[in-house]
Amino acid sequence: MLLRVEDLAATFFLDEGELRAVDGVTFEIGEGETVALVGESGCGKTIVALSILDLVPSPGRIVGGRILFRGTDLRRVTPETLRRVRGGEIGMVFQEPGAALNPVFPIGRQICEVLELHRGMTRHEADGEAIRVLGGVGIPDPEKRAKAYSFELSGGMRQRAVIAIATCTRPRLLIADEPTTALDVTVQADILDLLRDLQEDYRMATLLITHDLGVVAETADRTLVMYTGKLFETGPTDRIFDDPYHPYTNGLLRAVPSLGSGRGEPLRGIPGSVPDLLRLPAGCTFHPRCELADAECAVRFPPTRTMGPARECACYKATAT
Amino acid sequence: MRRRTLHLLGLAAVMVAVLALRWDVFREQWSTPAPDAWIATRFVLIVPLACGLLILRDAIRRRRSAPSPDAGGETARAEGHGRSPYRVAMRRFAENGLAMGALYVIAALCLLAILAPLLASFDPTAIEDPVATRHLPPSVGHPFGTDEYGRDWLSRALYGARVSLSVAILAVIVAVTFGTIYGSVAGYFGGFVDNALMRIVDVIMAFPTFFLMLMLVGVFEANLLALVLILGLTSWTGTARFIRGEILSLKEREFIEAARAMGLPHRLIIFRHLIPNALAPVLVSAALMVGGMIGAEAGLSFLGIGIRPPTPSWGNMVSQGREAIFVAWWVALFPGLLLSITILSFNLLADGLRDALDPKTLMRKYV
Amino acid sequence: MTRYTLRRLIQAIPLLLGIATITFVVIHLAPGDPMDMFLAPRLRRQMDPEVIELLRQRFGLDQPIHVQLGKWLVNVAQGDLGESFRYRRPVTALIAERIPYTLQLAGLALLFDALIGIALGIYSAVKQYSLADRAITVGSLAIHSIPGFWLAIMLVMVFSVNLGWFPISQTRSLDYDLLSTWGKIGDRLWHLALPVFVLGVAQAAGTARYMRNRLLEVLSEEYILAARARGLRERTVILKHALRNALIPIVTIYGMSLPFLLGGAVLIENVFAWPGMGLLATEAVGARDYPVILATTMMAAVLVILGNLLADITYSIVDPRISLGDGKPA
Repeated sequence: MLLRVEDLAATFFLDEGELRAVDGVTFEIGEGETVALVGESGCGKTIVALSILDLVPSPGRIVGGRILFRGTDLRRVTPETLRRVRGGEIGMVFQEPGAALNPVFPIGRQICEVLELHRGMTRHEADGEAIRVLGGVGIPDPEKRAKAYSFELSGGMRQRAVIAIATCTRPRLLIADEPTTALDVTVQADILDLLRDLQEDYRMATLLITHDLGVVAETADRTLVMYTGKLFETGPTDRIFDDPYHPYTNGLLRAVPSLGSGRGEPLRGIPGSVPDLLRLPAGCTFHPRCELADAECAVRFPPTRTMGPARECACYKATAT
Repeated sequence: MRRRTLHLLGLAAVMVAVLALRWDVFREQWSTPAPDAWIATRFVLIVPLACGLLILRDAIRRRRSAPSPDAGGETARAEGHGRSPYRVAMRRFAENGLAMGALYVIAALCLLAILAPLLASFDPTAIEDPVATRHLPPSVGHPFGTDEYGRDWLSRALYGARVSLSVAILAVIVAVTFGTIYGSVAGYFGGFVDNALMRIVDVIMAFPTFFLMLMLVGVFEANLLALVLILGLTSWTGTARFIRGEILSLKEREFIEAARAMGLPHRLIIFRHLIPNALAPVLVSAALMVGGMIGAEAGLSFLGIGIRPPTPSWGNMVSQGREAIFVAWWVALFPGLLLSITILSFNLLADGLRDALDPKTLMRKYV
Repeated sequence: MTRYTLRRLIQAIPLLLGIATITFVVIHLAPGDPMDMFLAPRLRRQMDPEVIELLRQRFGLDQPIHVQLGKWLVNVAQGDLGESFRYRRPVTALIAERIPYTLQLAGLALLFDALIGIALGIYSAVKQYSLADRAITVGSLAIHSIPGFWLAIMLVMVFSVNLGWFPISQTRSLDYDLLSTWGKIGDRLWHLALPVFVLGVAQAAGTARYMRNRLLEVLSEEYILAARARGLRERTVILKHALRNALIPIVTIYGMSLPFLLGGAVLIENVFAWPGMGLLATEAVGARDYPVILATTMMAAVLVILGNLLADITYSIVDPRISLGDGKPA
């Protein structure tokens, strides 16, 4: 098991109160697997990603759980080891394509920096490898582009550059936080293809964080559904999409209009809105919006139950078919 | 309202205390024709009366609105729970310890300045017995010591406060007024007028302000009034630029809306929207400017070209001290200390105002 | 980059003309005969009417106002600013003598400001909310509020009069001429120590605050998070990635601090009897030496403009978005 996150909890200590951004999340990622972490904005998925590398910004902090990467708990390693894991064995790609690139350094230099640090290359070796890597992510004319600054590149190219930096060290796991959300639809497809290719070439696992179910359906082996800091449902993607157990998952899937569906059909959203994380409802945090909810749901948050092969769900009302 | 009552009571109490402790001086100054004595004596009587009246008014208001249930909104507003932006800002300011402290210091200095004729034990300009009393170190009789003419340094410092504070505040009023008008004209008319006016501003801003003051004082033979004007008319450029920017951006927005709104004159919209929005930053910069003016006046007086002796100004007092640093350290120390404390207080006040009025500095970074 | 430089140089010319024009306006607004600005009244009584007439023509004082302005601008451009009443020498020569001293003072103060201010600002930002940070923040405001001339006198009192560590005033010791070259440089620096400190420390306080805020801003940017996510050492992240970005606007800040530096120099030069332009200006005001007063003020403005120009050009070099892009800041 490449990565096993156990009971991860991260809290933000604000003046207004304690905000439990991640509240007891458990999941696994195997070698070479693509796992999608889905949820609406603000459900805590980004914090999960940042927690793995211990990059939760203050006033937030990881307050519990274990992060077992290849058997070692990343919460208990030395800072030196953590530094080596970051970028070296776990790579990360962010949402805004340009924002992860330092605007005053050419992109080639930023790749070299990582190569010199993690793969011990000399400046000269790194320069050459950087050009190769840029070519590998589909950037045309890599020698020239290596000297370019981020503001000289288009959104798609910037994201490719960021992916290049994250993957040039052949990490075992790539965490991609909404990598295509800020891009045009056509470019999205290209980037997803690129990620898939890299994955195959490098035997790289991917934790794909997104709220776009279309992307999930296309690329993910397994899916984790998250809401207000907790996981509602996990399982193989096709099984979840065919037959969701959790009413929230069901609502999400129904809300996605499909291309070519009949005109005039009303969009079906989930009633209500995502609750304020500082004032969560008692019991199951989804129950005020859930059509299956009853009195039992308002008392205690439902425990996670195994509902089938590789499928788990946290709901009192879910039934295995 | 409790806080307000406390402040008013405190102010009244201080005035009464001064009256009590300085009763004989008060009696003496009451009949003097000198204008500063007149102001001081009337002030120390009127202020406690005014405070008393205000406290009474608040108490009556509270009693009147307490029993009736549907005056809840009124009471709430009176209690300061109101949502009006000014109240919110005032409350935020009041919670800022450093800024409130600075405000108290400034208020104390202003009171000291206004009441100087009552508080000073000695005549600041009279030279009585230079030989016997020259350069006396600080003691109970002379808390700040004496200068080379035997004048009580504390009394001179008190009178110096009047000069330094009033010159600075008046100069800031001149600067802000002129800058606002200038910037408004430029922004309102736009186009060529705006361009020309702003070019002039660019050129003026190229001159180091102190040099400009130096030149103008040198060329125009500054008396007190001229000094205030010179200080003010060399410092308006920042305000002008800011106001002009605000008007331009407002014009942009209003122009589009006015095309649809029709009816309300352009002018009214601009000024009705402009004043509340622009007031806050202008206030902050005014507070900062007072500190700067105090420093500038002190600098000019120190060089001997601002306020000239025998009129005391903290600046020329430091200059006297400089002559005597070998034998009388207190002559230079106290006026400079007062200058530093005053300027620091105005800077802290400006900081506090900025934090209270600017919502951005209080926004926290969320997930 | 050169295109940008050229553009800025050209933009500076109307500013320089404007400075001369404003000075001209002041000359004519002054009470009394504008002639008094060029010729001391007491000298006038002693001189031949013909010579006076020649002077009138040289400055075009009997011509219509626009001709006068023209003549004035031409004179200024050629460096003819009249003669000092006090020294009976061309003003330009006087200024040329004094400027190096002021530049030494202001230049070293700027250096002091840069080194100390930036260092303190970085430390303050990295150790946010710590005791050191709060001390620096409050302390820098306090120091900024102390009038420079008073601070100078206090320091002289403590360090020069009582402790004797530094000289009280002047630019050189009595045995200056007997020193070696290094000795001379050292002596000059020793005499510059207190003045530079006073002038620089007030500026450094402001720089430290600005640097702290700027660095905190940069540190909250996503590329810093990304840099950490790549496993870079914290020191590298801050000193290489963050600093490089944070420092870019500093150059402009320095440009903006020039007027204050020069204004402060006037007072400092007075306290330390440092023979620079500021002292010259003050003495001129005392002596009603109008040509010198006007010329030094103009010169100060020219220095400010040149300094800002330099700052802009440096900025364009330092920020890749300008040097490679279309010449406009991002």
